[in-house]
Amino acid sequence: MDAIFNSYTLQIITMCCINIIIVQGLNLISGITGQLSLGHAAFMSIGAYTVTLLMLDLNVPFWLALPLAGLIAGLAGFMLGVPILRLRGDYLAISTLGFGEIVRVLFLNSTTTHGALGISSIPHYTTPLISVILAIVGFIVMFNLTNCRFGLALRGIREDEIAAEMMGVNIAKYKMLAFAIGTGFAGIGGALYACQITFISPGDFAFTRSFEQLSMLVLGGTGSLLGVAAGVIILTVIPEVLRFATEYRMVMYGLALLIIMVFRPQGLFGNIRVNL
Amino acid sequence: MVIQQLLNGLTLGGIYALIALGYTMIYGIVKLINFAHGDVFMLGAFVGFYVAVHFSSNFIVVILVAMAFCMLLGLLIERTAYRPLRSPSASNLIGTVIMVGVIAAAAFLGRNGMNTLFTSAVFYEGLALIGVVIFLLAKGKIRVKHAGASGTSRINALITAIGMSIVLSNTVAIINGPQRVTFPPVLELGSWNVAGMNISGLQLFIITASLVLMFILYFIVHKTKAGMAMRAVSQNINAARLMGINPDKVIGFTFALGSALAAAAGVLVGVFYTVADPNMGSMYGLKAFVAAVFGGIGSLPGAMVGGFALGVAEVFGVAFIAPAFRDAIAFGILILVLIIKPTGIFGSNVKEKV
Repeated sequence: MDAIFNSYTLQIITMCCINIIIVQGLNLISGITGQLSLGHAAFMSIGAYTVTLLMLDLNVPFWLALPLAGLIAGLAGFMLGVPILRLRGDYLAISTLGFGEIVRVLFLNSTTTHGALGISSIPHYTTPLISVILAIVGFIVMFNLTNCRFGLALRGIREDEIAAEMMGVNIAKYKMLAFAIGTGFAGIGGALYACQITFISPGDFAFTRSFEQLSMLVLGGTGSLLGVAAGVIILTVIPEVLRFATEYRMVMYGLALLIIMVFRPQGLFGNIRVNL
Repeated sequence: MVIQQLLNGLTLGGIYALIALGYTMIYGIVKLINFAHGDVFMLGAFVGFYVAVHFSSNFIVVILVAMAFCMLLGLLIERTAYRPLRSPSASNLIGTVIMVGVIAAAAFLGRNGMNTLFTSAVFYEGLALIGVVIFLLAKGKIRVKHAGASGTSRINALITAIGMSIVLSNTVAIINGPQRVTFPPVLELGSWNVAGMNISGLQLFIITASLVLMFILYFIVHKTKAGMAMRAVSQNINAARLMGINPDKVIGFTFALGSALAAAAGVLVGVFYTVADPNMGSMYGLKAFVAAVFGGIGSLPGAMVGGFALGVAEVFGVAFIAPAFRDAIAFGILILVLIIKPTGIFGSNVKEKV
């Protein structure tokens, strides 16, 4: 047992669980509701900075700061959603990407967040057990959300907005709710990430991370909860396995992404497509 | 001061516009945000650098070689990464497998030299694996199912483009090393002092060169048969096919054209800012894409106007408002424009049919 669960593998498991929470949120937005978001890392960073600043500057206990991080990230998502969820497809994608970069630049230039230096010595609260439990809780919440009337309405929006509106679905409201909940998940994941790595800087939350999260989602299969878990685990483990080939790691990662997309376009566990 | 900054803005804008044209053309035809385009631009700069250092310091030679190289690269990327997503036939998939093998070998070779390649076991193992996969594909043992009637969804192409972008920038980072390179002076045009302003000949040259390239592109798209085919495919790919146009060829041609323009922009950036680094593609690429959306994606004049407008706005923002917010300015403008006019400046308003 000890040979398998050493501190290194436990760390990977923790990262997998954190990423599962975050990508579950992205799945609700992009997979279930079909609103492609390329700025998910921004909400992760909002959660991470919220929890860090609350704990370090205001001495808020971790268990209060964690839900607050989710709440504030969700609120930010809601507020961003008001203007930009009117946009469709690629325009929405590119404005979420733009928003992500704006958030990064704001954190980079703010004195409270120590700019590019980042914040170090964040208390290490995220244990593997906590992350596993929260990932499972998130999984159950997401499962129930997507399998009730709410989830049905979201799927309706993905398949055909006009038809959904005809059926009496309040599109603006449901899109906004999905966006707020999804970004809230990202906030909680970001908070756990900060308390796991114990160091955050704006560079950790650049658009490349949003791309990585989207890759995890599409690789596993958009819209499928099982797919999210599979995609996250594969793309978190691949770079670790390839650690022996330090320089070639990212090239192989890119090639793996490409090969999987070409040979299994629907994702590993997906049978539903996102309509852009 | 204002005119000086305007000149700086137009220089940057010309570069954005050249990259944006590639984005907008490719988007107009295959509805794909080709995230690898920024890295093609970066590769153009690096090819220019290597030509300038090792072969010729003649600017014309440098830019033409870079453009020709990236043209081929663009064709290859389209052929091996995006075409299999549109039609996953065995031959297209074999192309992908070969490309993967070649890139892996190139990355390995660039770092370790030719000698180690043939003596290492990894090379022969990889070769054997690729051989087996190609054999299975050719025999029809491995098949890829279409995800739907209209081919795979566009989000797959998006992820493929992201993968391609990672591959390109990291291959260059392996071969060259992750450090930035300094361009040798291949083009020296001096500068003049007019009414207290420093007008550099290079800036004027870059603005002129980008305008000339845009004019050539406009001529190709609107006055030649190949351009007509491009416009036809972008309007309706199936109708174009019925008219005897081969969409695959047209798409390849579009990628080649866009990549050549990106390479030209890369060399111009290298010459003007004198540095190039393997990671510069993503930021320039994203901003150029913003420019394309700003002008109305799919529209050539839109990309030009959007590029220049974005360059000027960015330089003015840096000079007069907040220097630290350089990267936020472009995206802030983008979000504002999209909220006010979601289709961009020149974008056509498509009525949604039920």
